[in-house]
Amino acid sequence: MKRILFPIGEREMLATQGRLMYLPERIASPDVTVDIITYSNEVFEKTGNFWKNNNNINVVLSDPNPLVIPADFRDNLVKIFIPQIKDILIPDTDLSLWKVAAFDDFRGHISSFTFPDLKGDYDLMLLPFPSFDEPPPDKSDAFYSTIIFLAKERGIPIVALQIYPVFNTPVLFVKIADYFIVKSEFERQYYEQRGIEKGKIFILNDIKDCYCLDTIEDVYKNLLFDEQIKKIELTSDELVVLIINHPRFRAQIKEILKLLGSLNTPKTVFFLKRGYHVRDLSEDQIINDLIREDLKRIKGRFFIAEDGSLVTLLMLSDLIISTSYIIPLQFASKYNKVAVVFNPLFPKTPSHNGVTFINNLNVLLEVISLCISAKKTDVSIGDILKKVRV
Amino acid sequence: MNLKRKRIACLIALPHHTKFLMPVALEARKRGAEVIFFLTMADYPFERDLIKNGQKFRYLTDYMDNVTAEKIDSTLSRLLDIWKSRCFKWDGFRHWSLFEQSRFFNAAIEEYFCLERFIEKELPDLFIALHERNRWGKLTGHLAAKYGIPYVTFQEGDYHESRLSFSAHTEYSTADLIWGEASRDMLGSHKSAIDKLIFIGNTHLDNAIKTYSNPLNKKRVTEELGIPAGKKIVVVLLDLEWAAVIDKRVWFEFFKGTNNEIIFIFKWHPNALLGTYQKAEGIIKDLSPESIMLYTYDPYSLLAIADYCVTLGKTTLALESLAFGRPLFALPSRDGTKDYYVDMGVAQSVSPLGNWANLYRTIEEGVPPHIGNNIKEYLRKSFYRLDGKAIERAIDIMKYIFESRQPARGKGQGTRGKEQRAKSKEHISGRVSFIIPSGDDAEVLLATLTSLSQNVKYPDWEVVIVVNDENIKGMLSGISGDMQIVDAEGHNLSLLYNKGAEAASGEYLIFLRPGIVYFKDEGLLDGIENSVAGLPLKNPDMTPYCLGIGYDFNFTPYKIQNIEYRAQNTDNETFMSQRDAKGNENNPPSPPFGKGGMGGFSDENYRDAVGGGFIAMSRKIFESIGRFDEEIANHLIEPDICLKAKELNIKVRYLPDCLAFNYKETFFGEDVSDENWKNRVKFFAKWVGKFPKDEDFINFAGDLLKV
Repeated sequence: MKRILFPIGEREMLATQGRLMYLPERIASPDVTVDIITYSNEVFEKTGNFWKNNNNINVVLSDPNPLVIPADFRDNLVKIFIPQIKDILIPDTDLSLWKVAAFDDFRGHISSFTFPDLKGDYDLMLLPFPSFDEPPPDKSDAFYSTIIFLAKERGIPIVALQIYPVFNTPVLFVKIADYFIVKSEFERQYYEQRGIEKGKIFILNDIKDCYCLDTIEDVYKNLLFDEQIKKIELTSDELVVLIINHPRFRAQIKEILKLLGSLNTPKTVFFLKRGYHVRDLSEDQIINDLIREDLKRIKGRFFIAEDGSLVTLLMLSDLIISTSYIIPLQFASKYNKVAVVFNPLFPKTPSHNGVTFINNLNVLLEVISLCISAKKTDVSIGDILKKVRV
Repeated sequence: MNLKRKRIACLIALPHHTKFLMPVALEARKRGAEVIFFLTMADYPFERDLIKNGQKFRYLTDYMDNVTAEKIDSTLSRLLDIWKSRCFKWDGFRHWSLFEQSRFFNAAIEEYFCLERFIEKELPDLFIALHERNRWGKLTGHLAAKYGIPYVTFQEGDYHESRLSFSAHTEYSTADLIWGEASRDMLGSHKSAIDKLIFIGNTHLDNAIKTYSNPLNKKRVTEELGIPAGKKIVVVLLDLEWAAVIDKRVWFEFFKGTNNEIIFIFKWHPNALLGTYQKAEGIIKDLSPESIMLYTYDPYSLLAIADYCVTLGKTTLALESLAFGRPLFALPSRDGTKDYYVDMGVAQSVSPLGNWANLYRTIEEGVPPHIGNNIKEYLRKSFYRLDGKAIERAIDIMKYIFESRQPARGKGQGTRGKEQRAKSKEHISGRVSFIIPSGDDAEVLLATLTSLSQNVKYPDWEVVIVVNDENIKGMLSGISGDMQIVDAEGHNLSLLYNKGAEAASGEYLIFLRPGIVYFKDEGLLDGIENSVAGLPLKNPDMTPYCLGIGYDFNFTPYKIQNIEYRAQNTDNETFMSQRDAKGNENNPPSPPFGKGGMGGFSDENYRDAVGGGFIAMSRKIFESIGRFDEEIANHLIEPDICLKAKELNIKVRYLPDCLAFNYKETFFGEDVSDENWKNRVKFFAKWVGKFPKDEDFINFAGDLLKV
């Protein structure tokens, strides 16, 4: 059993509109426990309620103890501080560090809060990096410093989570983290240029995990955390395909499903209804009579979905296939989804607004195969932690 | 000399810095100085007061160029690599938040290298800053020393409580201009360099009393605050701990026993958290709706309109209220341990809470006479003189620093306006001249003379007594031997030594103050052939009195009394490696002080300086160095002449095989007074950037570091 410590403060919760607390989902398992630790009653209650039914995620309140620090006690700390660093000179100068640090910067910023010790051992700590541009409140600042100190004292590796722009990471934090999780190649290069080994920086590109660390809210990405969808329990190793129904191009849809059925890769197919009736027949009747058997043969899970769930399903899918051009396809491409119009009846058409037109089943197979390959390069927080865990 | 064309760089920080420094800087400008206000880029807008006063200023970051930026990046990264392996070692570090640590490191390194560029570009002649207790004060001091620029500092508030930072208050300062005796006692007890502490009074308060007490000003403030006519105004001043009290029961007790004859104005501590203040405001207004609560109001306006002041704990404003002539009442600090002002007899107690008897009695009968007398004495000790001339005194000192530095730039050693070099005189080869000022204690002088007659074995020697006390002359007429009597006046040891040297005929000159008992001089003449030399001086009980002269953490000379003392080569390197603003190295190291070693002598043969009342050199060396500087305090003339010797690459040697005793200390300290500061300032001004230094603060601070 591995244990991961995950401190969360109010500022980071607010900055990510609460999404940070979803992050443990992809890490926690019967073999891995995640302890979210916070000093904030608000964060404690929110995360506690959210994860109350998950046995692998615990929420711990680290109750702050406010201190009144008399002047002579501050001086006493300074008296110990100076001998601790008396030998450190500012490089390229003969100026002792303690002289510029002890009497004002250290003495004047001695924290007014203490926090209890950690209970038990941890194998790793996830640390949301603060922003130099948004100084944390005193309590939060003291909390993170204490937790980092305790982690270092116990030799717990620290994995930094990049939430704010890399430019704003306080310099000392860059030096104390053991591993870095960033969201782009640019961020990786930024840290590499600052002397961090390439092998210690990981780019997270799983859309859901990235969004947990994002400070910009996106109403469509919010759908990734839809409670209903969560029950489907999509896994990262399965291909998720959204097929859009069409009243006329039934044969083409059957071709698509047959092709999917020929692939042994794990998959889930969402079959999206369009909400039509044709004379006396409902769409459901047509699907039941003509499509359902093909769906059963895809060698994977399938769900027939109402047309109102289009955007939600689109956000969850890796590949969207429609037999005709519909506007949501170009929206899908904006979220890095593979959006395809497959119809052998259509003439050859160049890509438009990120949507690929295919009129040949072999080409569709190629595109699906590429999509499967690309899916395998997705990196989730769980993938990264498997690599860094010690 | 005026300050014309002198470039004075003034470090501006928080408003309480500005209020003390600005009047001095502006006066310096009036006297012709070019004043450059410079500041750091902090979250707090330090430039605010400057802008309000229409002053131009520079940010240190204005001096950041590409090279500097690269240097900052590289140094910061290397420092943090060191720091990360250290900052988790001691539990105390976790109480200094990593975020604040980051801020500190970023700022400190940026400021250091930008300030260095500032110096290189602006070439200031003098730095002024409020104090050395923060990183800006230290960075400025360090670089000022590195570039040989005098550094004048002042005092931050009333030093009423012990602070470890006082031990570093005078480290780099050429002169530290303080309020008065009380501050000197406090700083002295923390090992600040007494010689660098000069009384000037309070540069802000002097003018503030005048300005704020103006009747029009008082009327404006009273109206602005809406104070009803006929009320007695009681201004309440809070220390930081009292300013954190949000327990309604406490304030309820506070108001007990008050009546509507008085109106309270609460001047909250500015460092209290706004949220705390707002809570307290709610409570107090609820209990006493008429009371006025102020968080950021100009405190001096309040002292000016106050009839009475009440201090809750220790505050600088309490002291200042006394300077404004306001009767003071006090409650002890929240820990209840000590009622500082009441104990000193300058305030009347209103403790426990709700006990206003003394206040009402004073309203009826006035301040009790014994309290009034105590206040006078307290103000004298605290503020030297409340005569409105503090700024003038500060300017005089700055002017004198510039004057003092002129000889070092070419005029050479000695008194301005007089012959700078010792006159070359016919002398008798091989003769040794003992030059002794008489002093005013015959017994002490006789002890010295007797020791010479008993212990000097040289074939040809003479004694030159420089008589500065008429009463001694008669006693000398009864003494036989080869002795010259030279008449002189005063207690200036340099002058007396110089007069003696002029009259002496020996090839070798040995200067002794009366009270030194000469005992053993093996190898002395060899030692002074090409050097300035001293010997071990012990007390009559054989404990060390002066085993050479060292320089402490404050760049200040002291008599070595530790028999384990070893000269530090690094001190000599410090002396030798001073750089000018263009980065050129002055005084390149030369044997035996350079890295080439000690030229065959062991460490114990060398000192940064020698003396303690005995210093010897050949006439040839005395003439090349020049005379003793007659404008320097008696106890500093030996280190001064040794610095001059070193500047000329003349060795300063300590001869451990010789011995003399200090029967009684004479002359040292006799010419030091609060008013006579020039003879100390000159020493520190003259050798800025060239002093040796012992960087071992732990050893220097000693018991001050005991927890």
